[in-house]
Parts: sequence; structure tokens; C-alpha cells
Amino acid sequence: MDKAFFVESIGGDIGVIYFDLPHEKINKLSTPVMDELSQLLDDIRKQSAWKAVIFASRKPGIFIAGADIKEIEDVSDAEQGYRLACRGQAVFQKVADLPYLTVAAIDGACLGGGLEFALACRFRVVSDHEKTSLGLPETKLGIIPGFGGTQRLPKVVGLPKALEMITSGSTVDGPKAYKIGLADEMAHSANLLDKAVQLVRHVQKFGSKKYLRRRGTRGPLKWLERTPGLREIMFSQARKAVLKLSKGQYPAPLKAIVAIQAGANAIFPARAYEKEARIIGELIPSPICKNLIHLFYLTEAAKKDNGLALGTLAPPAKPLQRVGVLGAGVMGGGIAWLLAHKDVFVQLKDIQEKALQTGLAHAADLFEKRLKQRRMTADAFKRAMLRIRATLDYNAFHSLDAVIEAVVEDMKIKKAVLRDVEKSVSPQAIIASNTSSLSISEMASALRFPERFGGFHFFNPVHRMPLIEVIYGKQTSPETLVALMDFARKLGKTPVPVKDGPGFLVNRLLVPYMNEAALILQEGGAEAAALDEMVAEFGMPMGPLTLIDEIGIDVGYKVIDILYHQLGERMKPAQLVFDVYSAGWLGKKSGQGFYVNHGSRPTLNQGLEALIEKTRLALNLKPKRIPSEDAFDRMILPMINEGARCLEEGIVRHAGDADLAMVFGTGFPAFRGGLLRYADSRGVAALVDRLHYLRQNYGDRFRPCAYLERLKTENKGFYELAKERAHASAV
Amino acid sequence: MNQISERLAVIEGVRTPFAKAGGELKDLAAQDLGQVAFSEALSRSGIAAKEIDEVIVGCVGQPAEAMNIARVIALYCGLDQQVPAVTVHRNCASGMESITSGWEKIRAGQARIVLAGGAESMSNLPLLYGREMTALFADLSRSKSLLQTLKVLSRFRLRFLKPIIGVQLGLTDPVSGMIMGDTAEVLAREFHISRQDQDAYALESHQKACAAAPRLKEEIVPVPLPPKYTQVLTKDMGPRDNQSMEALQKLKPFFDRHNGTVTVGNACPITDGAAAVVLMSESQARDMGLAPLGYVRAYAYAGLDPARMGLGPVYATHKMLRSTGFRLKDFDLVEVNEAFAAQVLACEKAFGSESFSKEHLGLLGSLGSLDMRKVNVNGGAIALGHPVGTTGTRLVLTLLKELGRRGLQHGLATLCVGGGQGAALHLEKI
Repeated sequence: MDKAFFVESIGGDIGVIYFDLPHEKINKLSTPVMDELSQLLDDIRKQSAWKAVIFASRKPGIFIAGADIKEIEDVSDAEQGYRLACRGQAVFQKVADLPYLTVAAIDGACLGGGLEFALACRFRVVSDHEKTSLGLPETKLGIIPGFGGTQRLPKVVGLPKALEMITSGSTVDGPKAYKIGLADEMAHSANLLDKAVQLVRHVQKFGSKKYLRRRGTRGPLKWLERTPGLREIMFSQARKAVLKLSKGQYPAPLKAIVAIQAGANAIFPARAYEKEARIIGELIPSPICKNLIHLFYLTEAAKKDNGLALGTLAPPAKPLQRVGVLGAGVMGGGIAWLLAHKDVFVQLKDIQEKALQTGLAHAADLFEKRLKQRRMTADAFKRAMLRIRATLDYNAFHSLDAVIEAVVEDMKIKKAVLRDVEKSVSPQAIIASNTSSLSISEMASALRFPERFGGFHFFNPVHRMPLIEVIYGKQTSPETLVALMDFARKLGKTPVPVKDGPGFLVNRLLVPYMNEAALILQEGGAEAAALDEMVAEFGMPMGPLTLIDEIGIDVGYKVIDILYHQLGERMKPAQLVFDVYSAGWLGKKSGQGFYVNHGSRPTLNQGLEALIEKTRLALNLKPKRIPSEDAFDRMILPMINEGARCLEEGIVRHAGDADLAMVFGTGFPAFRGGLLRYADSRGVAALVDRLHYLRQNYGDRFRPCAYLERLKTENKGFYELAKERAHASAV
Repeated sequence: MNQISERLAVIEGVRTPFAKAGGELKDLAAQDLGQVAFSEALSRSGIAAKEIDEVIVGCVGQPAEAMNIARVIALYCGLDQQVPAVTVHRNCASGMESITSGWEKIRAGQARIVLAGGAESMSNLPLLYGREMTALFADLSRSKSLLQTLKVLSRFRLRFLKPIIGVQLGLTDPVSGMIMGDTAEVLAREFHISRQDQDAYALESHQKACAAAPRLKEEIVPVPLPPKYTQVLTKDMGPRDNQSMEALQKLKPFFDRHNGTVTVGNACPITDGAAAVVLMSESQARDMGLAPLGYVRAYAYAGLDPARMGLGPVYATHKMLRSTGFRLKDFDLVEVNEAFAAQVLACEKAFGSESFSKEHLGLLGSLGSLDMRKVNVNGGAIALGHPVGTTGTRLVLTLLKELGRRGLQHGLATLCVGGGQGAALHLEKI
């Protein structure tokens, strides 16, 4: 291997060690790198001329991005994980034991193992560059910092801050790092090394008191932290905060607290390091860790995905800087907000002044929330709002790079609007529809140049949902798809390319989930709350009935009905959904649906029981209890079955697309790695058998699709097949 | 001199609605209004931002936080950092100066495409501390000991806090010492213009502007209103449907309380608003296959007695016609800025007066009478308002649009300038 560390010296008595991993854009800590570092540390220990050593990076925007995730992924037993951590701890202990001053000069990302390395140095200087970020995000991957991070961070920033940073995995920028004492000095990138030298000279002359004073907890909390009994309050509060967020489904943050606690109470620090290594050893082989790493890879791939068939290269798309939004109101206003927020110039057009007002007010409202949270200045607020031009005509549309249509979900109206738009825009402009259920290919038939047209499906509420389904119809050109994928990323969203088809991907999968819950309810199989609780326990952010309330019963019914007409009997709307809709209960927006939404938390709609009774009578059904595992599988397995159909029809390219979309579009539990990864974990063969069982007992709609049957015969999982295909296409 | 060169093509233009200072637009600074108008003009022209060679903005009361407001507006509009920008100031004609300066740059080969216009927020003109208070602040910052500080503070008198009103200062000509309204009173006296005539003229301005509202919408880009953005301003707020002679006659003279005739009703209100146009040479427009709104064929600026600045249109028009050989009566439509009713009516009389022409312009006969049926057909500044840096651009925009609607060819846009100047532009539709 080419070497990764380069040694220089300043003024004879200060050594500078640059980390510059060959053939990589980033610096990361792999086993060979750790070996080289270890050897280097042994060598420089003997450098008697040196009084200090400064560690820096030659990668722009990166100090050390962290440990090599590939290595973590490959660890399959606790002992192996434990040894990996011990090895890291030992190398970093060598850094801490160097017989002279050590300074980490951090300019760029300093994450995970990178920060643990920096913490092993005596001092840290940071740049105020926007790319500088420091943090220990290990818990986001289902593990804990294992190279001494849980031990050293509390010593530097104090217990409360360390608990918060490690359990949440959050990062801080340069100025914040300096403020909380994580960094001892701050400078501009260009002066960073000078600053580090200055720090060394200061310490040589006056000692390190000036810097050590800034470390640890400040203020009255310091006494709490120092008193053994009272210190426990901090841990129990941290635990509570974690449980509130993770609902007990993510063990890593809790384990991190255990490791930190061990360090805080340790008489022999070495024991606490040992504990840290043991804990990470246990966590590394866990399915949750592997699932989170799996999602991490999918997310990273989405950052570069051009949306075309895997392995297809495409030239970079022209950035879309001036974009029209058709149809104001809340949806259009939300889109306009996002665009303006991301520095895009917007023409927000509607036919009614009133709708423009609603849209603008909604956008302003979203900005104002950020203003109140101090995430934005008053001037930036005004600047962003002034990027939105409100208009009732198409006068300025010919200068736009793209137009996003968000008018009412009606094919006739959409086609008419698209025809108008095409007359007003330049021939190069991209046109996209934010439809959630109408056919992109059919809409395209209204256009003279359909190749410039595609779907751009935001999820509601736009400002919170991280997914955009980028839909390509029969005639959508690769250039259009690539441009829309890029644009979604510019907006800070995760794009998933989806071929045009009924309900696209996410809605198509959610419809049987919601509909089946209503069917179970009308059969008298379970209580509404029990159904929702069941899936909440599974990890879904909301149950199917809460979800349909949230969407609106009218909209939900309409979407189920559309899919029923296009996909047939298996999507037939439950009578109960129609009856709830007919009763005038529209869900959250009207105050009641399956639940009543008054006050802080929804309560069960008291009238629902009677309505179910009526529906059941009308359908001539006898109430029958349904075993809860049957009820659960009736809701979840049709999603998998439908996901398999989407793969079969080429709606998505591979299982990863579906999993990414489900996690980001519906909040499908990340610790399960996505819907199809969950299917693999249960075993496809077992699922097929289960579906046959459901088919015999509850109806033909559960019949497993051909794709699933094939997986079963070939004895494969979704991902094994995906891997084989990727391999085949690479060959 | 002007007529031999190629005409200036005005490709596209747009403005914000106008609203009285302290009204709907008060929470938007001049650069904010400018951003809306300039970016929209550029968008409507369909010309790519990277094609712009220069941005020129007229602004009279330049905000302290946006020095060289043109540059600020250019960057807010998302123009490339490499595009230079300059702010121009010819008082009330600044919005015209931006256009004629642009033309000169194009003629000199310094630019191909220019984004020009005006931006003004008279709501945001500051109140100033007086000399004494300013000196006190300066000394305070210089004092080194508590004793010294106390000594400085002891000089403080309550009257130091009386602010100097920026707007009032701006509307006063420092040479003659007269506020603009007083110059209008001078003209009313010298040309024998009665209060009755002034009020009748003002009423007509409102009636014409109200009738023109649907047409004026074509040149207006709606502006969402901070701080809540729950409202979008789509039309000018000045014109009053219910304006009447009775209401106008009830008003007291504002400038000369005893013998005056000029009231706030027959003068233009101080106003917020911005306007922008996209400019290039006629041949450039032809090469790019664009259909301009119209052309500027000639222009002139002229100076005169600051105390009679209201007659500026007569001097400037005369100067322009002398160089082009065109005649006043051959203009199909005329926009004369209505700083004051008395001032427009004085111009009408001066244009038609042989003795005035002889005495002041050195002519044998009059310039020809101004047909008032052709003047300000969509109302004027008395109803619409007069954001000083912007009006010059608005006159050009409004006139070109109206020539187009009526299928007419020649237009005269002219205005009087505080400090004693006049500006005149000869516009052509085809």
C-alpha cells in the first residue's frame, strides 16, 4: 500500500503529520491505515528534537471522515468487533501517550473515529470553514464510539454536552466546537496551521492553563457532575430523552450512556475503555447495525444516483435555477417555500389572487418558524420571500428552466394547464407534475414535446418529508430524468426514480396497508387502536388508520379507488372507508375520521363503533375475532407482495429503491433496513407460505405474485437477487 | 446630434404597484422593490441573466444600508457577480437618466444589453440627527475619562433630539432654499393658475387613473407584502374612485398657508415603487429576433431657474426638438409628470405662449400648443404617486404600452426636475 501519512517539521522542534489517504477523496481509518499510524507513532516517539506534533489533513474539506464502514459491516461476531475496538483504542492511546504536545488541526469533516483521534490529542484547533463539522455519529449506525470517544469526549466538553452529542449523533460546526470547548482555538482555514503553532508556543511559554480552564462543564451543573450520587440524575435524564425519541427500538444510544457512565464512575479508567470495547463488540454484529449501515449505503448511493438504469452514465444536467410553480394554495406554497429556501427563483402562478395569498402566507409561515428557531435571520427571510414572484399570468414563464405543476388532481384540468404551460415556456424548459396518483404518460400526451416531461412527487408536508419520487413516463427523456434527480437533491431531498404506474411506488404500497386495516375493522377482527398499536410497536411512525386520517378520508378513498380501477380486485376499497367518508368524517382536517382530533392527542371516534356495526349489517358479515399475528401480516405482507410486483414490472430498478422510498416516504422503521430487507429477514419462502395461508383464510387478494414465488423456488431473498443482477450488469 | 444614430430598443419593462409612503409597501426597502421589478423585467424579457452587461438604477434617496443600490439589486436578482452596476442620480429624472445612460453605454460600445430603471422607497427615507447631536455623539466616542464624558453630556439639550426629516430635506432645493411646493406656487402666481383649475386637473387625473387600472395591470408585477405576506399588492393604491371637487376644495393650502393654492390634493403624494426596463440597440434586438415594446429616438436634458423648476419639460422638449426638427404637434401621446397640477398647467401655458418662447427660449413663435387630450391619458402622478427615482422609467413604460394599445407611433415623455432641470424623451412604437 502507498503510504497515507507524511511527516514534515516546522522550525525544527514541531513535527507536522499530514494524513492523505492515496486514491481516495476522503481520509478514513481502515485497518491498514491504523497499522501505518501505529508504526508511525512508534517511530516519532523517538524524535527527541520535537517538542510538539501537529496532525493535519491534506484533503480539502476533510480531516478524517471516520472509520471504514465496510470493515464494520463485515464484522459478524462480538469477539471480532471487540478486538477491532481494542486495536483502535490502543493506537489512539499511543497518541495520547506521546511525550510532547499534540495538536489536531481540523479543517473539514472530523467525524466518528476522526474525532476520537482528535480527542486523543492534547489540543484541538478548528477552522471556521462551513465544511468543518465535528461529531460522533456512531449511534446513527447502531453502534457506539469505540475508539475511546465515550471516555474522552465527556472530559473535554463535560457530561451533559457529551451525552447529548453521543446519543443524538449530532455534529457541531467550527464556531460551535470552539464555543463548547471541544476546540481550544479557532482560525480561518488558511491560518489554521499558524494558529496551531501559536498555541504550541503559548503552552510552551505559559503552560496550558488558559486552555484547560475552558474544558468540561461550566456553571452550576459542574457540581452536579462532580458529586457521585447526583451525577446519576444526568444519566437517567439522558436515558429518558433517548427513550422518548427512539421508543426503545434503538439500543445503541442507551448502550452509549452505559459506556459513558462507566467512564464517569470508574476508579480504573482502563476498565471503562474495556467496557466501551465490549459494548461496541456486541452491537456491531446486531441486525440493527447491519440494517442501518445498509440504509447508509442506500442514502450515499442516492446522492450520486442519476436515475437511469444501474451503471448507466449520463452527463451532468443543467441546473434548474428559475422555476415556476403552478397552483398556489398550501401544496404550491410549500413547494415555493422549499424552492426559495434553496435559492431558486420562483414564479408562483395561480388563477386566483386568493390562492396566491394562501400559498405565500404558508411559505412565509414556514420561514417564520425558522426565524423563531433562530435558524434564519430576518433579512434572509425577506430575501427568500422576495425570490418568490406571485403572478396570475404566464408573462415571465419563457425565462424559466422548469415548471412544476401542482394544480388540482384532475386529468382534464392538468392536461389543459400543461397545454397552456407549454405555449408559454421555452423549448428547453422541463415540465414536471406533482401528481400523486395520475398517469404521467397520459398527461404527457397533452404536450408537443413529451420527452421534457416527468413526475416530481413531493410528499406532504413538503417541508418535512425527505422523499421525492421522480417519475418517468413512456416518453420522458433520460436528460429530463437526470435533471429532476439533480434538482431534488438541490432541494435537500432524497430522490428515488420510479417508472410511471398506478400510485407510483409509495402510494401503491400504502393502499393495501390502509385498506386492509379498514377491512379487518369492518370484519370485527380487531379494535382500531389495537391495529395502530400493533404497527407502532413494529416501528411505523403511525398506524394505517391514523395515516388515512392524516391524509384525509376523501383523498384516501379516491386514491384507493383509482388503484382499484387500475390494478383490480386486490385493491377494492373497503366499504367502511366509503361509509366513514359518507358520514362526512374527512379525517384530521375536519376534526374527526377514525379518530377525533381535538386537543393534544387523538382519541377514538365514539361514533365509529356504530358505523362499523351498520357497515357489517349491510354487508351481512358476522363479527369474528382475528388472531393478532394474522391481523399484522394482513397489513404488512400485502405491501411486500406489492413491492415484489413493482420489481417485476420494473417500477423500481431494485430492492434498494423500494426500501429507500419506504423509509423516507412513509417512515418505515430504519432499524429494519426497509420493507424488502425486512422481508428478507423473515425469509421469502416463509412469507410466501404465510401469504398462501392468508389467501385461504381471508381472500384471494393475498395470492403471492410470480416474482415472490420465483424467489421462493430459487431460494433467494430480494437482495441476493439484486446483488446477482448488479454483478451480471457489471460483467 | 441624436437623430443620426441608431435608436434604443426597449425590449420589455415592468414595475411594482405604487403606494403612498407609509402605506402598503412601507416594509420593503428600495432595494427590495428594485429586486422585484428588475428580476421580473429580466424574466419577462426572456433574456438569460448572463447576457446582461450592465445594471443602471436611478435612486434619489439612496438607503444608507444599500450604498450603490444598483449593485445590491443586481446581486439580489441573481445576476452574475461579474456584471457591473451603477446608481445614477438626476433627482426626479433619475429613472430616465438610467435609460439614457444605458443608451450612451450601448452607443459607446461599452455594453450590449442593459438592465435599467428606478427604485425608491420614500417610506424609508431616514430621520436625521441635527449638527449639535451629531457633534455630541462624536465627542462622546472620543472622551477618555468619566469626567470628560460627563462634561460632554452636560452639553446635551432636549432640542438636540428634534429630528431633521429626510424627505423634507430632499424636497428642498438648497440653492434657492425653496421647497418644491413653493416653486409650484411661484408658477401658479406667474401663470395665473387658479385653485379651481388645479383641483379640476387633479380630479381628472384620478378619474383617468381609475379608468386605466385594468390597462395599467399589464405593466405591474404583484408584490407580496411583508411582514406576514398574507396579502399581495396587485394595483396602484393612489387613485381614488371617490375623489371629488368638494373633497379637494376642502383641503388647506399646504405650502403657503395664507395665499397659496397648492394643496396635498393637487400635488403628487410621496410614494414607494420601482420600475425596470431591458435595453439594447435596435439592431441587436433585430439580430436576436426580439419584438421590443418600442424605441427611444432622442432625448434632452435642460437646466433652468431652480425656483421655476416646474417648467423643465418646456425647456427640455424645446432643446430636444431643436436637435431633431420634430414638432410638438406631431406627438400622438404625451406623458408630462404631474409633480403639481399648477406646474403641468403652467407648462401647457408656456408651450403655447409666444412671449414665453421669445423671452426664455429665444424663439420667434411658440413651441405650439399642447393638446391636453393627448396628455397623461392614463392619469398621472397626482393620482398614481411619484416615487422620485422611479417615475422617469414609469413614464417611458406606460407611454410605450399605451402607444402599442392605440397603434400610435410618436410619444413624448417629459418631466420637471427638482433643482431646476427638465428631461424629455422622444419615443417611437415601431
